[in-house]
Amino acid sequence: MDAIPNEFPISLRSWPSANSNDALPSIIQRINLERGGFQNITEESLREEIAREELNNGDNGDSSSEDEEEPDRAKELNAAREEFIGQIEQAHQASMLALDFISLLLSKDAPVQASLSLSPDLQAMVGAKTLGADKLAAPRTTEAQKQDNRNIAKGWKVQHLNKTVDSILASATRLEKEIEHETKYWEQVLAVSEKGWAICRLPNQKHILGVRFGFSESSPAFKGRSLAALKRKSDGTISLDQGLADAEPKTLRVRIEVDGSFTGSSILRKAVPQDSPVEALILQARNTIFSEELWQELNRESRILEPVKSKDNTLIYQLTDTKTMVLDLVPLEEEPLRFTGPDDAIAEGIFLALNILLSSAHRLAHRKRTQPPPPIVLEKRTTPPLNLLRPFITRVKHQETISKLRDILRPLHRVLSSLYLDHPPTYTQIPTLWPPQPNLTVAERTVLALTERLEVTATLTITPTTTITIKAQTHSQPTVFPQFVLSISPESPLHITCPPPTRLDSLPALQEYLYYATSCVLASIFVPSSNHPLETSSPPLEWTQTTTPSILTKPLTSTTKTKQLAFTIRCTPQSSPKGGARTILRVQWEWARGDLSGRNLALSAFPTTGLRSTLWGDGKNAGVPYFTDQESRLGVSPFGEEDFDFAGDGEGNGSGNGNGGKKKRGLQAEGYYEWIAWVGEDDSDKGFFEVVRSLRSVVESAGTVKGGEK
Amino acid sequence: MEGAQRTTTSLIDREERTVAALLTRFRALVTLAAEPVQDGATKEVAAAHGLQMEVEGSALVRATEDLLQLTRELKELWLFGPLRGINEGEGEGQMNVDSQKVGELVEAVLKRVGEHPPAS
Repeated sequence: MDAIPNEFPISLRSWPSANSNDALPSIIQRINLERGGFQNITEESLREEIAREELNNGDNGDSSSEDEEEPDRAKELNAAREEFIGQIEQAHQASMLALDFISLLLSKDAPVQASLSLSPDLQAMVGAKTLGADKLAAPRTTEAQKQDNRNIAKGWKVQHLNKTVDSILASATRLEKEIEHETKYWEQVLAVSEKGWAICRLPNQKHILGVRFGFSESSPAFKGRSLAALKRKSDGTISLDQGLADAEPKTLRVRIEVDGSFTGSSILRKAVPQDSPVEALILQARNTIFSEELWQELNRESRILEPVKSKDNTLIYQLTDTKTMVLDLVPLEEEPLRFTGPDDAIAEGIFLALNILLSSAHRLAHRKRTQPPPPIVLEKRTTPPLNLLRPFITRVKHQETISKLRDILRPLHRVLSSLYLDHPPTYTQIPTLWPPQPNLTVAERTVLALTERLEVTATLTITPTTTITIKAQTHSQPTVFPQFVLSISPESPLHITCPPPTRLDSLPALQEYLYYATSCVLASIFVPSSNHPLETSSPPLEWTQTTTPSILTKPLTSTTKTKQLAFTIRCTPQSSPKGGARTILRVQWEWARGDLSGRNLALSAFPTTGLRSTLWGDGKNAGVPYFTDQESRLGVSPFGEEDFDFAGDGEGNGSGNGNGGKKKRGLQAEGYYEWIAWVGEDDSDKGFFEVVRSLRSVVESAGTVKGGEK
Repeated sequence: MEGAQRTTTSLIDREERTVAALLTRFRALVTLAAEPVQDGATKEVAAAHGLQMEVEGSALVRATEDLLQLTRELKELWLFGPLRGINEGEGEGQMNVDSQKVGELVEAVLKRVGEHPPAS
């Protein structure tokens, strides 16, 4: 704008077109504008002006840079002009707005006039008569009032400030205390969590933390009780709150009872007092809930397990013949009564075993839960009771079976070895070890190994051809019962004479079979094999088997009688103070009677007094024992009846040699010989058996007829 | 990881927002306190100012409590929230060794008892 002199009158009209020959009125207008009328114009002044102008133009045209500056000036002029126009537009807008405002305001009072000046847009947008103006009276506040107001305002401000400051300070103190409590609380919660307890939020109240001390595999009744809230007391310490659950600590107690009085009890822990640290309380709560669940599961199981009886809130089970196990749930007290007895170890062991079994049952349930679930059925599936007592009882019964089997087989083995057979018998008893399952942990495997598929294999070799293998298994479903699987070696004569039943269910049956089979085998030793051809002339002078495999007959050519030899094995009950029950092998020989004799039996040739001996003597009515001269010299005799108390009632018997009154003399060349072994004897017991005869000698002497007989 | 990411940024966001609110309220309070007394309708203005001061003051306290709540939530998350890996803290631990030993002991005792049965 510097290039344009300030006094140059600015024309807003467009730049005039180039034709200077304008119409006269425009020229006159311009002259009026520029010079203010025709008054001051004379000829001379006009000529002077022209001359002056030419001079100026000449001066201006001398500078060559004038041409180049021209476009800049033109541009600048244009820019300035544009800006100018913009500003004027804005002014126009503002004034139109002001006009609209005023007309709107006036439209209430003077609508006709206002609508003339109101723009149609505003009318459409807002509507007429929407703004009003009133005149208010001026505030009639005097100076004094104003001063008063000011003071009041100041006072109020100060008051409010003070109040705010006080409230802020109070809340600061409160928050500080709160932070302190929070810190303490969180420290304790952290300590509890470090111990391994799971902390979670209570499902009902989101801002309270709780600790879960239950087990994830418990039955639903117990799951609800397994959460306890950690509340903050007024001084910041934690307290355990179990809500509506019964917080009395309980535990399971196992007692051993003998003849009505308690001889052993599991150890009862002391109850933790209420003001001990939280972890101890949580531990106690967990133990309590575990014991309660254990008790409930035991009760459930006892309803289907027959040997366990429930009486008066206790569970009773017969462990052995004398001992009974009593289970019950007792609350813990602060000062427990110390009860000690000789069977404490057993009770404590049972207690621990039951706890471990419950944990392993939980683990099993967890495993089952992690597998894909079975298909959905309409009726509700109820969980069967857990196996707690069942494995325990199975194991106990299995141990009983093992020891009873041993008690049968070991004396039998001793008897057999005392026979001095050509090949000594052997006997082994081995528990079966199953290979461990790979996908279970060691703990589970241990528990399973102790309780499942219990089996023991006993092998008894009587002769080289005969081996009896007994597999004793104890099953737990549906009840606890033993089962014995027998197998005989293939070349044994037993397959023909006395084939074994494959399965036996009770120990007495097994015992019967074993004794019978052994006697058959022993008898078959003395039967010659049927390889050599029979002599056709006369009946063979050897022992032959009869229909009862354990009885052999032999015809004696010197007489026309047949001798009969019988093998029996029997077991007497535990009666004598010397040891346990006895296993006795008896070889009895006598003349065959009845059809077996084959010849006429001239019985009257022999004096017979007293009672005939029966075929299977019961010991009291046996015939005269037959022993060699050598033995009679040495003074060794087989046991007479006075040594035995077969009936078990302790009365001395008056039968036997040399006692009057009950002299039984049967036929001559009849008698028996017995080999005896006790349960519980060991090899160091050298009793009467050093000079025991061998089976072969007995049989041979039984088969011959000594001089003096016909 | 996205969920954790979002939570982290949202937590940081929350914290910053709370701090900002705290400062804003404080500034407003100071402003109100420092405003000079004006002429004209002072009583009403003064009353309004007083009310606003109260409001700002309590908002200040509440912002502080928000921060406290934030720290508590952080602690909860730290303790048992998504910060702990799955299956951490489980496992058999000492049980493997112990159970093996116990199993062997029990078998030995049972064998011994089986060989020589006790008197009763």
